[in-house]
Amino acid sequence: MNAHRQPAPERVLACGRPASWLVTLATEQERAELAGTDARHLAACPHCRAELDDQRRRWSAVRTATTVPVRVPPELVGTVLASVNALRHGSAGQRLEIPATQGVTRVSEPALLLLARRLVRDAAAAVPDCRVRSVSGHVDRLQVRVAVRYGHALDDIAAGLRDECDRQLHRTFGSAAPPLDVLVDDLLPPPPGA
Amino acid sequence: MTGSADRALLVAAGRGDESCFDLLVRRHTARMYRVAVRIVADPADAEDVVQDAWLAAWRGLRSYRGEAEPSTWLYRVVTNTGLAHLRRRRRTVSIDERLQEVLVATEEPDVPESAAVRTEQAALVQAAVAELEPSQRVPLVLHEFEGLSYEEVAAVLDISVAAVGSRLHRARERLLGKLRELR
Repeated sequence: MNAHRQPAPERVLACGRPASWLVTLATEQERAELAGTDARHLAACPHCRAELDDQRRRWSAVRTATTVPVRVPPELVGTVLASVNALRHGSAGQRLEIPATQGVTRVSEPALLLLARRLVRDAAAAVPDCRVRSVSGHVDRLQVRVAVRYGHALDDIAAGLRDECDRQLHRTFGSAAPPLDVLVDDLLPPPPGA
Repeated sequence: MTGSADRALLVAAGRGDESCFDLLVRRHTARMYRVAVRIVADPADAEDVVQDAWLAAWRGLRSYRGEAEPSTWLYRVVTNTGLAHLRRRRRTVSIDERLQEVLVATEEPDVPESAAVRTEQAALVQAAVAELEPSQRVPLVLHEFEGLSYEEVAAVLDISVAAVGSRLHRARERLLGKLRELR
């Protein structure tokens, strides 16, 4: 996330009014109504009229942006359904057992999958040109489906991902961490500007 | 994202009908992605948010009592998931190029600017939106980009209509300021 800066000091127009008094009028015409003193001021003040025109011009860029469609990744629905299915069909009766000095910590399969999903994704953030699509499997073996960028050695990417994931899974589950298979089943688009 | 059909699907899914939940996923993933990408301002992160949101929706099905509109409930899930993602994320890179991957204007005969110009302009606006504080950004996305009314935004965010108006006013003011900087 971008760092949020302190708000800029309020801009005051040459007539003494703050520029912000025109924001509603410029951006939300259907809700904005001026009456009385404000209407008379706007009609007579060249500074406010120029500012209003300027704000409306800038806001027209926002209106244009709202009309530009967002392209939804075609594989997204399938990926979501795969993730939901992995969790849905995980057996709540199956448990990962983490031995401890006093007793055993047990993790249900659905909880394991949710944890593994987060851990694997965090791990993948350190591996360039690779995106995790889904994590599935069982307490004895996990599978991560990934998309990689064309032109890179799959062995290197898979090995890098497996190493990172292994580290993350062992940090959480210790010696009980299940092994992880990597399935490359999609290609990423070229990076912007490539 | 409205209608009694969605409510019936949600209720049936809550009773264990997997096909109803899958149908909801097919019907609403595009809208969820649109909201997510505008909140987190990164196409890949938005995919993660949508996946997490659906997993959260699946796990929360039994808590859906039908008191909220399905659209409100799903917007709430994706919005909360997006906000949680923003809290975890440590990103400082420029984002307008990433957004150009998913913003795709098409040529229109009555519009003087080319599709490429509008795409670029939309990405710049979206990047400016992404610099707003989340408390301002989310209502702006829901109202300006998704077309929700003040009342609907208030229901999604569980705040008063007056608070929505106040946050939107600040968001617009900040956004206009940022758009001045971009010129």
